[in-house]
Amino acid sequence: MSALLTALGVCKNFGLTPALRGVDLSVDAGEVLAVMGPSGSGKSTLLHCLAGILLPDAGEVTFDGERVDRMPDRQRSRLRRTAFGFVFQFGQLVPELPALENIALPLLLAGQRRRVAETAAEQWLARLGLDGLGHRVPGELSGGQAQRVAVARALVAGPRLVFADEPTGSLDSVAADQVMDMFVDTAKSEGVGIVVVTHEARVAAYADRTVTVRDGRVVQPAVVS
Amino acid sequence: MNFRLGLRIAFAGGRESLARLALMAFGVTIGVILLLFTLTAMPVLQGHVDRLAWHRTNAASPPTAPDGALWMAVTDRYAGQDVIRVHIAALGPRPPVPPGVDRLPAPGEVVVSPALAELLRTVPADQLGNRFPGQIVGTIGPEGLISPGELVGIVGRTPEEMRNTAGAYEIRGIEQPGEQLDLAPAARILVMLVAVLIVGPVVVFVSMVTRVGAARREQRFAAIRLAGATRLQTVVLAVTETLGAAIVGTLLGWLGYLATRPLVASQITLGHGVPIYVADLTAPADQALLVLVAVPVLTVFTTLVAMHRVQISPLGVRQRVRRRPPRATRLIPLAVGIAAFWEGIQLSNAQAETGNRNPLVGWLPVVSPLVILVGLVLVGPWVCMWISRGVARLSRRATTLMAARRIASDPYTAFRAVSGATLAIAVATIAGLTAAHEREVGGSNQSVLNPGVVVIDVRGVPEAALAPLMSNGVVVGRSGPGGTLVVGCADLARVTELSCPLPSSVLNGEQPLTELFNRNGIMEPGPQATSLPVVTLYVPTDGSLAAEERVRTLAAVTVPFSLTRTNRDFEAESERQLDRAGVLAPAVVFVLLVAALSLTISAIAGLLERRRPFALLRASGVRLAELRRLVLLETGVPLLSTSLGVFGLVMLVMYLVVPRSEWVFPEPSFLAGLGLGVLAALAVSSIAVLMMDVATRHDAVRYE
Amino acid sequence: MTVSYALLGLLELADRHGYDLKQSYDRRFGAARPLRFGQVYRTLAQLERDGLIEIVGVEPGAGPERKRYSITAEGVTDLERWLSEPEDPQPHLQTVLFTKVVLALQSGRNAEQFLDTQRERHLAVMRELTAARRTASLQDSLLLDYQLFHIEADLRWIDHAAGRLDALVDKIQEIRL
Repeated sequence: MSALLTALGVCKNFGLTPALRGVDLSVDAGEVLAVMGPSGSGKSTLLHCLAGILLPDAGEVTFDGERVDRMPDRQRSRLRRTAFGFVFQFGQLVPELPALENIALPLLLAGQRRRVAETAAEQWLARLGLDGLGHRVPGELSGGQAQRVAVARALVAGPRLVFADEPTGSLDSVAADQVMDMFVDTAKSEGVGIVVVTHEARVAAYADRTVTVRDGRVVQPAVVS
Repeated sequence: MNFRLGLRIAFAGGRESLARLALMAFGVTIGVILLLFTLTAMPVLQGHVDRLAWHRTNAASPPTAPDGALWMAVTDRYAGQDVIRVHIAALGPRPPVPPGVDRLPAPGEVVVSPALAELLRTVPADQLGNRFPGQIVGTIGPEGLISPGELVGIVGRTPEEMRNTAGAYEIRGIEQPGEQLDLAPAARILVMLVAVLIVGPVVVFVSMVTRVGAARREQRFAAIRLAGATRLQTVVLAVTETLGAAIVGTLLGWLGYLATRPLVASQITLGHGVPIYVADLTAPADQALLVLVAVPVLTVFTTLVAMHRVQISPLGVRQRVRRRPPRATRLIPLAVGIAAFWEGIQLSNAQAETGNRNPLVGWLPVVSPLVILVGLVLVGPWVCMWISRGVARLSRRATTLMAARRIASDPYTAFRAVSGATLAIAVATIAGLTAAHEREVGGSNQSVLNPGVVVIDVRGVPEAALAPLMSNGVVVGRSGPGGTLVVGCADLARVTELSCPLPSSVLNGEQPLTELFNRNGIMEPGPQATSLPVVTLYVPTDGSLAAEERVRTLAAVTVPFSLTRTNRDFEAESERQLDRAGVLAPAVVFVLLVAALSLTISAIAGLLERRRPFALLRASGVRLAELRRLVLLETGVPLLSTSLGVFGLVMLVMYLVVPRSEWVFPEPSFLAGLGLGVLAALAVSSIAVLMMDVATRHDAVRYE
Repeated sequence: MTVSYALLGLLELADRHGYDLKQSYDRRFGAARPLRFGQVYRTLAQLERDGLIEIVGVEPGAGPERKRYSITAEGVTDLERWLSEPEDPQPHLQTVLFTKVVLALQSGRNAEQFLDTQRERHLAVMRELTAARRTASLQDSLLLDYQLFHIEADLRWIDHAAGRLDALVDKIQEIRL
């Protein structure tokens, strides 16, 4: 299976501080990859570089045969909008929009008709066990419910890859398991790949594969026979 | 915990909190300046009445000196400007003396105001100077003038000359100031409207400013509480911060008021075409002091109210109450106001018909517009909520939906940001309609004089004395029975735009032609016409200013008491009337500006509040242009909808209460100005749109 | 120890034969490690001798004699005491890892390499358990969660130790000197 997303020698500095010092990585289509590492290891920066939110200072990022690091800003925005989905730790839901409309947002932004978008969002509500919560605004949802809405929003537009940055970072373990269960289940059933950045082993354990980042490099474990 | 620690913590917040305090001080500065100028309104009007006092001198004026004087005053004109000409002759060694001069000019002497002296130097004597026969021996000081530019001349005469002059009478004293300012109800409404208009938006602006960064400040207070501070101590901290900014702002506001007084005074003409004295533009000391004390107290109070709304515990900040959505009961005051206004109009119409005085007529028209304004402010959030709910239901685009939901979630804040603009537009629309109405009504007695014709009202002077004025081509109007004007139609057609036969409304006096000094209609001269006394002369000239003023000067020399009019006078007069209606324009512009600032502040606060979701949306590939559109919609939708709503409402009320025959539409230029003002407010607030890029850059995606 | 209390708990619900008891135990607790018959009867004999259970009937039948067991009052008391007593944490795994790390450091071998390898092993097991848990029943998944949390605790210790290896090297070398 050829890799959907690859990174080769990716370096990124913030001012004089190096955040990434040559990271090699690949994600296959439909694969769930966990990126672990202590705080400050550069794992979030890596995710931002992979998703085209940040441009690497050196190295290559290729998605589906195209060089993401060479795309102009507009094209990268379009890529993020159409091919990628995003789940962040918190605060990505628009506070005034009810859950249903938050989920429908990517479809509306893509120019879909309101009814079509909301019907699709309705189905995602049901799939993530949020029936009857569609009219609540984020402030009226529990942390776990809000993150499931975020997951639904990331998946609603049919991305090929979802980037998740500490998706359970502000949840207790029960809610975290629930979110991850549904996240991985739905992504797998849709054939969507996930790159999840986390410092929690229990979250990483949902992945097919785990890489560990330390001091801006991927830690290469010794080959265990 | 003391104030010093409070100040240290206030400034320890770094550039951000310093910027917030500076913004707050700025808001208070603007507010104080506006309030102080509002306070000057009454002194300016009272000063005007006082300065006018000696112009009103008459035979009944109380004695001010042992001896009397002979007095004759007339309002003359030069090039459309009023020229006050007083002829006076002392009847003893100690006659009454008008303010601004040391002594009465002796016969053959003249004293003039500085502006008139200047004019006399540049204009040939036969056009102006001859009206003031004698030698200029002094100038009239400021206490004798309404404004620095007033044209006044006092001509000294002998008693014999005065006794032979028509219109002269004996006075015992000069009319003294002290008459209480008695504003017409309309003017009273105007002053109150302006006060509400100015004070309201300024208070809103100050409270908006305190909202910026309120969340950050409350978190800081929560941290301070975690470190062991009590609730009271955080309140003291907040008050210290606010009070510091408010005191600085108040002082700057006072200095700003002092600095801008000459500029503002140069813009106030009170309908005389020339600016007033700067000294008259002074807020009474006690009231000014009250403002300087009350404003900081008010800001502290605002802070306390804001602090009461959130509960700051050591574990964070919690909104104490979720405000209930506005209810339809908010419509009541507006409805009551409109009903009262309508009732007031009905009553005053009834009073005009029956002549029965009704006490309600006195105050209903004064109170009801205020109730309507208050009602507008109350009903605003309710309207915002329903409009945004409707938009949310109908919107197809994501940005429209987001903006509508935002407004619907907190219609109070959304409306507060535009309430200033709403008030400004309400008052501006009323003013615009009133101006259009006046123009419409005034349109019927627009001057029918031909250009270049000078009309002279000889005021009862016998025909024999008028010989110098009887040149070729002069049309003579005589006094007919029943106060009619006897003049040949063909003659009249020569000097006016009227044509023969004259319309019946002119003939029977239904449409009085004031510029012709026409009283009760016009009659064709009969055989005995020449025996009737002359009342008016119509002197044609070549239409140049010099020729007109030469005729006028000749008239003033021949009959000092005569009144003259030319087409030019009417033009100047209607311009000054426009000027008077235009008093509101600067106020409206200023308030729109303050409203625009409020709107900007609220847009920025709204952006900073949602910095994170916006940044994350942008990271997810949402275009920057769409986020900018969102902010523009969030300010634009409430602004435009309330502006249109208020405009429509005022028009509706006007049409409801004014009979159909008097319906007027505002001038296109007025509409254009209003539209431009709203657009300008929107443009100022789009600073927030420019901030969107910086506020949602990548670093906002990172976790703190 | 745990097995005997598990059997006591089952008997508290109802009187049973030895064969039934083994089946119930396996269904509820022993999916990974089923009980042997010998262990069941040894444990039951021990419990009877201690007076915590008693035989309430013997039925003839094919195979071994079918004794019917019932819990005694003393048995219930003992079970209640055990249930109400907290267990001491068992630090056996950490002891092994710690010993390995210290040994590696002391001998100048690559302790970091060892920890990384150990982390990989832990993560691999966690992945397996997580995958198993996602298809398991609620009861089974609770057990798997228990294991996951324990392995996670080990992992945290591994990460913590990895973060402090440099300081640890100095200390251990000091001790050797």
